[in-house]
Amino acid sequence: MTAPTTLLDRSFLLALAGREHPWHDVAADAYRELVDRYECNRVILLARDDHLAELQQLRSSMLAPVEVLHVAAQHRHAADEVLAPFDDPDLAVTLVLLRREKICSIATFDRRFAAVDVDVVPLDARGSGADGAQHLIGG
Amino acid sequence: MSLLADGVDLESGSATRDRRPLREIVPFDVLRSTRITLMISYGIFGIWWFKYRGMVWDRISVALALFIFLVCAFVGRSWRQWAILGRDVALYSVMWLAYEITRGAADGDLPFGITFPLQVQAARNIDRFMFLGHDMSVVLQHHLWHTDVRWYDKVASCTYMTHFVVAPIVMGVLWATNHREWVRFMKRFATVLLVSCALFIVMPTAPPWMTANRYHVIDHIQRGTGRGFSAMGFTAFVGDYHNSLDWGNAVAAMPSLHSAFALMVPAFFLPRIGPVWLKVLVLCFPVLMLTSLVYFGEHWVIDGLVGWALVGGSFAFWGRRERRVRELRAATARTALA
Repeated sequence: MTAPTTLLDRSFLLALAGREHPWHDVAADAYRELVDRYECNRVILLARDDHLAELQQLRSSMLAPVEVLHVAAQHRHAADEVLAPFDDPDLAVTLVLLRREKICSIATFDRRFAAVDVDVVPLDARGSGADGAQHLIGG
Repeated sequence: MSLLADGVDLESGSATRDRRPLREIVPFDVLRSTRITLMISYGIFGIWWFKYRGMVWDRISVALALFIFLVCAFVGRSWRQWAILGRDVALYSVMWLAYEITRGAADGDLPFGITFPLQVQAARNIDRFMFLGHDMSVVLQHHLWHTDVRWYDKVASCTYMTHFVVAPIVMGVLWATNHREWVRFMKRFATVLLVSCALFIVMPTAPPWMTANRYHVIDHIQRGTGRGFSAMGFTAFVGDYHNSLDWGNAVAAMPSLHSAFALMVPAFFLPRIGPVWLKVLVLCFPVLMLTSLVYFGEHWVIDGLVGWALVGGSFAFWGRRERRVRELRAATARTALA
């Protein structure tokens, strides 16, 4: 049976990869939960190919469960039309992917996703919606 | 490494509480509508063709029909997706070509003069053991076969014919909608096909109609898989189908791929079906298929049971393997995190 998909956003990947990163522990805890769910076939983990390219050395280790989501020219063209305040190119591409690839949730520390009607995994895991975001960002 | 550089606004305090739907932010995908329109049009055309020109059933026609459907489904998609589709189509074609060649070779054209003895009695004996000395094809035809076509002839005929279209339709839809699921389905499907080919070679088995009408081991059996279809007005298809029987391997009876495919599709989707009554209803289909096959004298009951066992084995093997891969990757990730 198809498990729901979760996209690991760049902010989440960087926090996960950087042991000195201020949110590394939070990211690691959230990722452990995601990996547990992945192991039980309850989630499919995805990350953008251009984001993973920055973390190539972790592809076969920490990010072994993560599938590559290729960003196509079609996605970038659609991202050009994403409206403010989401018109940051990188964010816009992620939003296009979320909709067009029917991705269920996103693991991110980027607060801008709190303004979008999409499940944000680390936040939802520790409280819901904006309150959860407040808690996470508060540390 | 700065979080702010990643676009995280730490200073703004509260998160926005008015969450906007993605459809308001991301532009409408015109090409998606085009694809859906094309696929629906193709479906309507397929129904028209089925009604007035006959069922598309042979391997090449089905592959072509599938290819046209996929072109409709991939309009406007990325070059990468087209490349993946091209690779998949090549693998799909190789799979069927290998199946057809092996199946044909099993009919007496094996290299180095290798031959395996034709099983005329073995499957029949197993059936007689299971059914207390009865030949089920003979029993069913004795009670149900009449010169005029009855309603159950139509049901059995339709069930028999679904073999040629249901699995390809499922493949096409999965291909177009969820490549990950298509891969899962095809691994299981190809495994059943591979093992079946091996069995066709080492265990050529005479079906009931051949055992009856050529070897006269059991009472005469009528052959009429298409007569229910003919009675429903699909004569063009039946004419073509009888031609094809001249090219097939008549002794590729063990296992029954009709039974195997009839179970494979419901089994694949069973975890998504909620109500138990619906699960039971869906699982009636392979039973109906096997009953139809035995009624028409195309297969022994044991052929169908072996087909089902192959499907069960294939699902168990790939389910276990996929679980093992997930466990290994999860363990690797945990180790790296520690």
